[in-house]
Amino acid sequence: MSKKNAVNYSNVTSETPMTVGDYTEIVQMKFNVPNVLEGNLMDAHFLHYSPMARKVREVFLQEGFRFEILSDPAQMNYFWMGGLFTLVYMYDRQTVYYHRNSDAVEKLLQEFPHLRSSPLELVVNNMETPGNKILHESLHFINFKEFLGARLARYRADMTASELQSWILDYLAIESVVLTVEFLASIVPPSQIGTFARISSCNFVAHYPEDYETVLAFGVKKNGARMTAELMYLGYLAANLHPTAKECPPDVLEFFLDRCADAELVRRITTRTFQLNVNFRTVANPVHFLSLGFEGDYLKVLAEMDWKTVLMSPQVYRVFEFNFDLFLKETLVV
Amino acid sequence: MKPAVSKFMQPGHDLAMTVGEYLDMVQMQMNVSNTLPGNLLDAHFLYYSPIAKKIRETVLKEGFQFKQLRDPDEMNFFWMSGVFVLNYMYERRTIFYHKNDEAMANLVRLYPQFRNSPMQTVGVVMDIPGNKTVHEGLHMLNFKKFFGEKLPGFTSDQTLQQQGETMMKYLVIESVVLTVEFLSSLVPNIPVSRIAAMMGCNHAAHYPEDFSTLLGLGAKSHGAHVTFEILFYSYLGANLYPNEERPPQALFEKLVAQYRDAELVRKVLEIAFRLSVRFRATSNPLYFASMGFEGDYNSVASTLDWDWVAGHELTREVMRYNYDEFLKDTFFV
Repeated sequence: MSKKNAVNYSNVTSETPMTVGDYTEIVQMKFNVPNVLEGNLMDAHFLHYSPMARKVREVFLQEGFRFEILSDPAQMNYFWMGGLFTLVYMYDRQTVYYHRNSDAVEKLLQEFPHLRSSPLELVVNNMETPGNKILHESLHFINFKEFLGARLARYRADMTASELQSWILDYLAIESVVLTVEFLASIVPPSQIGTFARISSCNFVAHYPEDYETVLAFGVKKNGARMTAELMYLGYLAANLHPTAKECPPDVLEFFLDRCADAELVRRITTRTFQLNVNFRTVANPVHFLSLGFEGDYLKVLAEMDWKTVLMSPQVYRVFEFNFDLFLKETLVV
Repeated sequence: MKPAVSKFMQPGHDLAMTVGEYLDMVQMQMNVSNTLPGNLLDAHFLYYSPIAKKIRETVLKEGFQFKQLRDPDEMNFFWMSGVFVLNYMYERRTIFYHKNDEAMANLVRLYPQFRNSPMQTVGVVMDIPGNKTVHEGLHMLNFKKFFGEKLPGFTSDQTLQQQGETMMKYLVIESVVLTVEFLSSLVPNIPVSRIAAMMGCNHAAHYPEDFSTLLGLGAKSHGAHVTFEILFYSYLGANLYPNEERPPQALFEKLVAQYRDAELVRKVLEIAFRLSVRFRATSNPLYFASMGFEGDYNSVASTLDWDWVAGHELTREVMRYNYDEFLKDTFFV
């Protein structure tokens, strides 16, 4: 929910170049789905196309969390400027806040009607419309509640080394599963509507066609949904545990090859998960833990963790099983 | 109004300080007039930059007003509309700005442990926007002076030449705005003033290289007026050659023939051509599209011959007005 998350339309599945006017017609389309958020750009579109997103929304509301559109000026400023610090703030309030962004382009056209016939890509990429990463935040909430309780555990100075590792791992496992489910939820029909919907709703989206092929053809069809999702989850966790690595280290690759005989699938998925932004892994993550009270050397703690044991630990598997059963088992199908 | 704190990470801005030290700095009181409540380091910038002080004074004298964004719809419009807010503001004779002075203090209230953390670490993952009041203020003043009440637009019955002339006027004004803004950011080399300049300007001078180019090689050796002219022509060149990452050789040679200092010209051109190609090649045409231009920007822009634009009477008037108004009494070594 920040300007760094501004909707980036550069990877739209291009059929024919669109004008701004064409785009506003898509934005205004109606879909018959429940639990739609008023004011959230292409919310109904995304729920319509993504059964996983629909399921996450349903569970989120069932669990008693709520959504609130930002309308108080002071709170709006906090959310615009607070960057990644808004997640804990929101969870403390059991509320996902979001920006009214559904009419940004329409408002612009009211001021500058000439832009209606301009190329969409040019106009929207010069705007700063933020995506409300509702799916991402919702998954965090649901997992926080399931594994960490109603209030997030802060760092305690009396933690032993293994308690500290376990505390960090709780968050990294959740972050990794959130990325996994979000990525898989973004695999929607490759139409322009579906593409716009997912890029305005997700932090990380699958690229068409290469990621679709990896997940659907090489993954689910050949190796099954569970293996595909598990590899992706462990791949993201491995990337988080090796925060400076831009490519999957050989020993990590070997670990995955021992678990899955399909070398091509392993190669494709680990390549993708290690593309997770290094700056995010080395700067944003430590600051997140700092906001939870940990002032020590985050990278040193990670370096001291036995990543292989971690990837096979029950703590890590519980997180996967919970999310797989709830969000993926019935929806991740070819 | 782009995020500015990430500029801490730019070359020449290695400002090592803790969040606590930064907050102490923000709270310092400076004795200057016309400051804007809620605008981060506003008083500090006016205190250290006589050029910025003069611009603020002139903006107010000319009847423009500043307004802090409070209405949720308007806030959303300003946060999301990127390059399109300038004309919206001019039509209302109002420079809108974000309340951004408490962003870090609010965060420290929630997370007191950040007080001892490096500013570079915490600041860089936030999105505090700078309110570019110097840049916008200069646009307002030049629009009023050279365009009057209503900004000229584009219609389909205009000839290519007429459209080119209108574009030329906007590009000349954009170039002088960039020039004066950049010079206003040459403030004393202490963290408080340099961070203040970064928050107040779209394009701030890097320390020490830009300072030594403009003050040492430029103003000290050739005087303020010549330095201003070279920087202005360099920005004009960057706008007239929007797809060029590097200064064209022909432009370099023209400016060297005129000013006879190849090193200074080369270094100043490099400053101006740091202006993002994406901005020059896509934001500028889009800005014109918002005013009704429907043609191919490159084909019209290519009619803007350097000699014609640089020697145009309007260009000379724009240079004269801005130098006399904002720089003559303030820009010296």
